[in-house]
Amino acid sequence: MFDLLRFLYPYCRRYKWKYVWGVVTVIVTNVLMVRANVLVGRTVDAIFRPDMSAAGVAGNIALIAVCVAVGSISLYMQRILLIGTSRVIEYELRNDFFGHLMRLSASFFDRSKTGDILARATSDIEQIRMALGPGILYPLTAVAILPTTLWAMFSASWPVALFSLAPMLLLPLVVSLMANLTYKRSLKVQEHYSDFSGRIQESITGIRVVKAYVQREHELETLNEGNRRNAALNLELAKVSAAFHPTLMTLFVLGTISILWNANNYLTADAALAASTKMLTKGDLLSFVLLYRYLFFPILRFGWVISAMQRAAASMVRLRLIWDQKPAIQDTGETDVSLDRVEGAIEIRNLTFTYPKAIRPSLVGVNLKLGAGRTLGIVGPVGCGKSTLGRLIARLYDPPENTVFLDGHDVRRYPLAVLRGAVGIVFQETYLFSDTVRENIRFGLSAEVSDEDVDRRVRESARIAAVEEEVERLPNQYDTILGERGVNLSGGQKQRVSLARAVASGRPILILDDAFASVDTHTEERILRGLRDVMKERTTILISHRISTVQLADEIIVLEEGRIAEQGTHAELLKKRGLYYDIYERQLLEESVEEANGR
Amino acid sequence: MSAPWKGAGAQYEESELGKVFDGRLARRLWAYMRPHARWIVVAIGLACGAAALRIAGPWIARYIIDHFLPTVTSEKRHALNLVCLLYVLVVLGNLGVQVAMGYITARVGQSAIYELRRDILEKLHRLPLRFFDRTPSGRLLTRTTSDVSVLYEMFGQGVVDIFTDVILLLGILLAWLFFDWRLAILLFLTGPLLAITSYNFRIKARTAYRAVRLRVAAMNVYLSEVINGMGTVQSFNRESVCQKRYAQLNLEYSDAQFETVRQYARFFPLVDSISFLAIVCVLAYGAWQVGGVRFHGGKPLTPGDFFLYFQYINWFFMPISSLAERYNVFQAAMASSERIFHLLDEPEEMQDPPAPLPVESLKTSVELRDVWFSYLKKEGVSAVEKKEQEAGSLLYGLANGSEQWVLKGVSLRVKRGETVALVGATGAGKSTVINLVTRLYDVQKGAVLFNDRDVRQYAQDDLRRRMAVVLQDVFLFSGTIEDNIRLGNREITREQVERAARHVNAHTFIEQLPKGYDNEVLERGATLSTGQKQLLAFARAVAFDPDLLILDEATANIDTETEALIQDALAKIMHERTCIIVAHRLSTIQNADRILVFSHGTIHEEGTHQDLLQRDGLYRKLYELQYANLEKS
Repeated sequence: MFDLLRFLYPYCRRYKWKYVWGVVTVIVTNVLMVRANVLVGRTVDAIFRPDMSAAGVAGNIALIAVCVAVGSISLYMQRILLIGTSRVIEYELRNDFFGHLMRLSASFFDRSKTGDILARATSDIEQIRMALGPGILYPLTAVAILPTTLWAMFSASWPVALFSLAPMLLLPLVVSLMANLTYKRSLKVQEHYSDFSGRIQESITGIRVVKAYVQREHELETLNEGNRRNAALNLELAKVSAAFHPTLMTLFVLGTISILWNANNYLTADAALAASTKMLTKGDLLSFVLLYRYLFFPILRFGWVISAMQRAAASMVRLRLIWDQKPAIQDTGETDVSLDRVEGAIEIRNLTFTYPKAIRPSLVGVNLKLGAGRTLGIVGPVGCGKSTLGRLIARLYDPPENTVFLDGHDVRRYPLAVLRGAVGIVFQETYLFSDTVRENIRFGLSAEVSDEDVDRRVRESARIAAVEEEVERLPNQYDTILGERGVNLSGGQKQRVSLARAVASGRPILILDDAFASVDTHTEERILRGLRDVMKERTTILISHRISTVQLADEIIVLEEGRIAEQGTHAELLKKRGLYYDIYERQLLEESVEEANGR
Repeated sequence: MSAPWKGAGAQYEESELGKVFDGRLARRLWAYMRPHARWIVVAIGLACGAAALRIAGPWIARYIIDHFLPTVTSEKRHALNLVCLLYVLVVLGNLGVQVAMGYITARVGQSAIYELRRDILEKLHRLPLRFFDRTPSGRLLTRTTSDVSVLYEMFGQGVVDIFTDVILLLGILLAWLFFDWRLAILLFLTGPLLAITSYNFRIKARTAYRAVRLRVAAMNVYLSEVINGMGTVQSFNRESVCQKRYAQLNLEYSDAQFETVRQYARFFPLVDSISFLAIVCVLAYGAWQVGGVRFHGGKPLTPGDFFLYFQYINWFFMPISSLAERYNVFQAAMASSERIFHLLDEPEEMQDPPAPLPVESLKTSVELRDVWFSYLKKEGVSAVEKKEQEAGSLLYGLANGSEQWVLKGVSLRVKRGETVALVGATGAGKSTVINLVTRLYDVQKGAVLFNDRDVRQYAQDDLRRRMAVVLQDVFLFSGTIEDNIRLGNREITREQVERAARHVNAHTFIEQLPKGYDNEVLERGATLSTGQKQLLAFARAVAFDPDLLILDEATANIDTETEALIQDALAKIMHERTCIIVAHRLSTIQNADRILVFSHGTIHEEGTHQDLLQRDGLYRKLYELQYANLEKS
């Protein structure tokens, strides 16, 4: 709880004055509303006075109207000020949370579920907002209204006030008892419910087995058992919740009865006498009963406020799990700000790398030198470490110190923004955004590039990536929206669009990590032909399990279990008749099978 | 707000809400309530009783105020005690009646919900596999869980509260009329004022909440996109652009929320003001009446009357303002029940013939005769799905309306006692053969025959009882190992379970588990290895002692020790039974009597292992590709 307050304090402080005014309006509202109720009683007395004056009654009514009118405006203001501010803080909190996410590294997202992060950003922040909005407003109202009302009641007649409060003493007991029962039973309902829905889910996903083994009867029997138990548990809960509200109302009315039962000793018909002897008139009695509900409901809300605070604290803990994550990769004191551009020469010196929490290293003692503008091919079987190498050069994971160098400087010394501005990477797992094709391709271009330039480069890149024709066949060409709510591209088309994105970004280093996996060999050839000019200008790393992708590279390395097994040009490697040759032969065979399959 | 977020999905969601009452749906829902009609009548009776007792309360209070106060003489003291006791009894009686009513309605609601959910579950198990192919399991889960819960909220609480409220409102109106018709009319006038205010609030709040829902969805869609594409975002240095975009969406969401704050902030003071207006009406009328009496005579108002009116005003206002809340419950319930009934109305397609033939044990053969099959089915597909299919075929360059045949005129015959292996590249149609033989799907052209009769002449259950299937991905249910082997079939004894497990070499590892056969299988067998799961599936198939065993071999990597056990088990099973196996292991293939090589939905080659190797065709290439290396090493 304390943690929660300390965390929220800086946010709340910015809106100090809103809170101050909020408190003022809460006090004003309550004072005026209590006053209006007292006036109602006075008016009733005035009506029954033998010397009733119409003007006096009208004056009282006017006064009530003023109190209610001003009170209502103040009631409006207090919600806008207090609840509204909680919405504003929620907005800032969520923005900050997002900003924090953007700084976290790939390794964090590897081990987190998207659904969990979404839940933090929505429901947990909403819970915290609840604590900030109604969680502040309700207790404030209670704190403001209890003294005012109690004072009004006790100052009128303390014995009657005491009598009226007698049933109220039962209130905390009854509420806590029932809340406790409700909590226990709803916990049972929820526990069973999650088991039950898990069981249903299982029945749906296992429908093939159920059908194949003709187990429908048995399956329905078990499911219905869960269904029956769910109903029974809900009924147990309903027993308590059906009694909850009526019981509270009963206590409330009992308080009223207690007033009526005991009031006679403190009542007088004489208003003048009432004022001087602390006795009540019948009108006062009416006010008393009217005021009574102001005591009752704020007390009821306390339970809600406490549970809201607990939920918020729990949400805070969950949020903290993410918020306290330090970005694994960020600019530090080692960062050399004078390194503001990259030519593209890559050197790797004795690089051994193990992923966090992995047992075996993914790369072992790799040494490599690649001049700016040259093309390197990396091949090898699945899991040989070829993707890792690309990721370390782009510093998506942190390589050990003094192992990966760009233009002779350790990549770790480059400011992240510069490094990422220099390396364009295309993964096998392409990721396109639910946006237009144009927006997706221009993704890496800075906002300063003019619209015509953007258009030209987008088209040119699409042509190089051999996706231009297909894009032009789409309903709105480059303005077609992709993704769930738009057009779904095939795997190969997605890969080519993301290739176009990398080409358009114009980075001096281009890493294509199995970027043609979903593209057939024929299209691959077209792409490679288109890329030839691009590859001449940029340092390119082609990572693939297919020989056809890398064969034209200036230099090819074959990785096996994290080590460089062979190195050379295509022709040299074939001559060696080693691992590279085996892979090559096998792929030729595969192609012939594909042909036999009629492709 | 830019266009993408107002896509088709959002609009669909919007059109889904809106209806508050739909006669057709209500009639169908009523069918579930009808068996409890007697209890519903009792509940209505109790609601009337509760209303009467509640109205009686302030009446007693009025009597006390007017007859005993301000000063009680000692002889009247006793009477006051009695009246107060009566008041307490009335209050407690009201409590009792309300609790009873709440309990009865919860009971009726739960029974109706239980039956509705039972119907949904039964329906799910009658639907054809095709339906599950095109419907995400999450959606089906929602139908049986949260959609039903929403209905419970309406059945269990909404309907009752509305009943109680309306009866109480009517009671108060009657009481007012009975007391003083002029004042009653005056107070009636505040009713519409409040109703209009609530209605207005309801409409605006609903619009605001709809905006909130849409915007929170837009924000989350974007957030999840950025999370999933974080690598891309970071490697292209797009953080600041994304941050700006998110802040924009967040702001739109926040604005929408602020609108709801504003609506509530406006609503509560208005309701308070209107209730004070009613009180002031009573005061003014009272003053006029009490004052007037001195000139005209008649029955004047008393202080007790004021008390009575103030209480009633309170109760009169509470239900009217809470109607807005009920409205939302009803709206959600109607949307949910529409979705539920839509599911219940789903056609069941594969129905058993009216007079199914009895299925005798496999005597002659299982046969596919010139079978054409496609998973995409033209008839019985909704408009949305049709659109999706068309979009798909457009993109993949397929001719419009193409059936995308998975099997193109396949004929094959498996004789009793024979083992046939199906091989070929993925997507060649091997697994489809399995789906058709077990009649999980029906063919579009041609026929599947069992004992030389079309499978459509049998009852599905009878047919499937003759077969056992082991799928590539073994599906385990939560429950014990034993439960997973006999799958609720009570005819299979513990001994038979053990014998089956021993037969397929699963007994040893099961015995090593802490509780042996009674060991719980956690989360779909998370604690078991792939190979062990495979062995369990074999045991399951063997325990059912089928005439025909159908097997889709697992391709996943299995540790060498278990691999040996599996191969041994497979050899035993194949030896003694009629088998159709989608084979990946060389040992399985070599043990088969016949091999069918599938390629693009047709049978490309057929023969024994040796025949096919000599033929130097597709099989030989596949063999070299997959097994040559293994043999070398």
